[in-house]
Amino acid sequence: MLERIAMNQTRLRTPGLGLDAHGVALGSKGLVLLPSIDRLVAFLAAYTEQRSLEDVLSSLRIAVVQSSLKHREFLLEIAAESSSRMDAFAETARLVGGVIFTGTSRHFVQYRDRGAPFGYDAPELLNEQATYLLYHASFSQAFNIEREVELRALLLRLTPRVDPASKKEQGPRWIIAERGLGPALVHYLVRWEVPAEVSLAEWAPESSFETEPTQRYLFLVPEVPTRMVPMLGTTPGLTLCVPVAPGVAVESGFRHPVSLRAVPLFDPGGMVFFRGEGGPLVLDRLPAAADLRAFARVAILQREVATTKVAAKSVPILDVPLRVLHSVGASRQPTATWIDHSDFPLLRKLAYALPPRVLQTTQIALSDRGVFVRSPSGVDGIPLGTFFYEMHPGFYVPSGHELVPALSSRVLSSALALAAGNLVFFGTDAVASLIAESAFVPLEQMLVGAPIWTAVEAQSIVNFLDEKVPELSIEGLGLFPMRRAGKVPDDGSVEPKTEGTD
Amino acid sequence: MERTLAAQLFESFVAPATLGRKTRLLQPIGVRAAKTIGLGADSIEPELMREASIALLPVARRLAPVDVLCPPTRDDWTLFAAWHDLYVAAHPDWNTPLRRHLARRVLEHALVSAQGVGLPQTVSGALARHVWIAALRSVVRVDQTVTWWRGAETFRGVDPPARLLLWPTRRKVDVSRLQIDSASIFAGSALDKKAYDQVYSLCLALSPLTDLAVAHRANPPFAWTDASLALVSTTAGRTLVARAIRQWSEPLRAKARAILQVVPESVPKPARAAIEKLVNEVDL
Repeated sequence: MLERIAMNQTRLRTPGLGLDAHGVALGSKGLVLLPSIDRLVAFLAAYTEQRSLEDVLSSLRIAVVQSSLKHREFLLEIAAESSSRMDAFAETARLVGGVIFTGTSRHFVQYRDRGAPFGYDAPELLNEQATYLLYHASFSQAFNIEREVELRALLLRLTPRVDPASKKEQGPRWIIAERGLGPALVHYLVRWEVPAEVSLAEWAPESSFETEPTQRYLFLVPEVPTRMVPMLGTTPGLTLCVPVAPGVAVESGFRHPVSLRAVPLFDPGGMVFFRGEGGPLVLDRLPAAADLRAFARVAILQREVATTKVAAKSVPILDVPLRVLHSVGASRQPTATWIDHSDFPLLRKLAYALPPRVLQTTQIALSDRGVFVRSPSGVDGIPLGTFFYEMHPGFYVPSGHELVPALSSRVLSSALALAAGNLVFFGTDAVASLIAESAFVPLEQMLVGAPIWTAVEAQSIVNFLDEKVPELSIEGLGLFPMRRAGKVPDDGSVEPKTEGTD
Repeated sequence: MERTLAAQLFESFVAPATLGRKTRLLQPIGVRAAKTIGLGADSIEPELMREASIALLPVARRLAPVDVLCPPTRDDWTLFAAWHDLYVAAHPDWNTPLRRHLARRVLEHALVSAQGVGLPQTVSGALARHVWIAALRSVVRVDQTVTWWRGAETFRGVDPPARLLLWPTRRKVDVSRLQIDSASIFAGSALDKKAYDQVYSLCLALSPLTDLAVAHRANPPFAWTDASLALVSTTAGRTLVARAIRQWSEPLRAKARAILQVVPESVPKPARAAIEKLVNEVDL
């Protein structure tokens, strides 16, 4: 049915088929014939894994074609600009079980393969009225277009696959929050000082029975703290999405079958969220966004501030006692802990498990009230005792508490008549414990007592390895030196013998 | 008695030579005792034998990857006795008018003892004998010449008396030490060079690997023997010899081809081919 094109052959019978610079038969179009939709998706997935479709996107056309026997197949049409592009398509088509053709208007012959490096020519043409007449080494078939398939619509209909690895990828995240969860998430992120932008997006009602549009909050978080990822990914009503290409994001834990970065079909001004379940959410245009801090809860005084002129005079000391109260603000990282004597054995055991960095950076002071431990990088690694954070330099307050009135460190130092080089630890009862900073020593120095050691005498290895020359010591021969040897036997000319025969 | 002699020989002569200590000579052993000395090897202190074997292991490992050395055979013991008697014959105390003939008799004992020693039958046997004999051959005698304001005196293998070293500055005492290797210790003895070299060459030829490993020696010069030809005729033996020669210093290796290719006319063709192979293997 097909003839292989020979080297230096110039005349071809198939209309619209020419030879490129390398002598390969090539039309202006390429057709990939695929038997089913899943092969088509596999073709797109395999091709976009290695290459981008950006170059062929303008000429790309997907259609469902039907033969005269009502047999349906999928046809992907591209502009065959060069044999190298066609080779790439041919390799992928062969991989997924498709067939690739080339031609210009109606007649398409099989593209070259190993059997015919310069391609094929059809000696006999079909005389049928059809959109595509395909000539293959094993068949010739006429196809008509049944309907066209838009690539963007196809991609939107594909459901993402489960891919747990995408949860570990770093980078920005989109969070889609249902309307009821939005404000709570706003305050949660504000409280933990997570920078983000928030916007409110609207979608058309999902059914004609609903009158109001569906609203969801969209958060764009440059970097989600690792500890929040499980909560954001598993809370119903929250969807954590990973941006995979401009204008496209896929839910964390899933991956779209086609590499969307290689198919620039989506408008960067809008947004498409592919969700693992529930279908994609498409926004033609991103709504206005604002910094998250603009939504933080604010407190407004109930009354206006009265401005009354008063005469300046000396103010008597009000003598307000200091109090340590529960804090309503975000808790700060604890940098010190007070461990009671009863927990001291636990600290000893814990010392074996502490990493070197903690041992080096942590300082410890022993007192009659217990052990004070502090570390500028945090004492999270020592889960013992009462945690403190450094409210002002040198002033430690229990975690989750604050000192009221909120005095500055200067005033506090003055009120406590504090000398330089002292640290103050306030208990929950507002009783201050004063301890000299010089009393703190590195934890690693405090851990080990005098180790048991045994002196080992080092020997010089050089002398050991030296090759000593044996020296012959000459001593006297004695009075009768020949007593043992005597005379040489007359039969002394012993015959040479072999070893062991003696 | 025999047992005691083997232990005495090992403790005073063989073991110190392997361990780099001062060796001490016994009275001449003689042919009869040399033949049976190996029977008493069981009485040697095992710890000393183990220490000597461990000291020799690095020497063997320069040539072959061995972990255990074969213990000395009875022939090895006879050869030890021959080397001992060779050194005893070179004792300077024989050099008196009444004892000079005794030195030659001791040398004859050494010669006859050596003539009764068989050649090693395996390459591993050759290697084991080599490490022991190389140690015995490495023995040196330190001669000290003391000069003072009115005279000079040479002490062969013994320390000069303390009285001669008194007041070194005032008496202008000067002591020079000279190491005499085993091939030259006949100097100052009652022996002549030719007789000593004959026995020395024979003792060396009985350990063909040692003979070839020190083929660069000046005195007595190397000559191919049946034992050395037999060794290089085997592939394994040739490999050991090639490794030994590769350890020579660069100037000596330059002369190796000239040393090894001096082959008597009587040597058959296969042996000549083996020598040629050895020369190529050493990549001279």
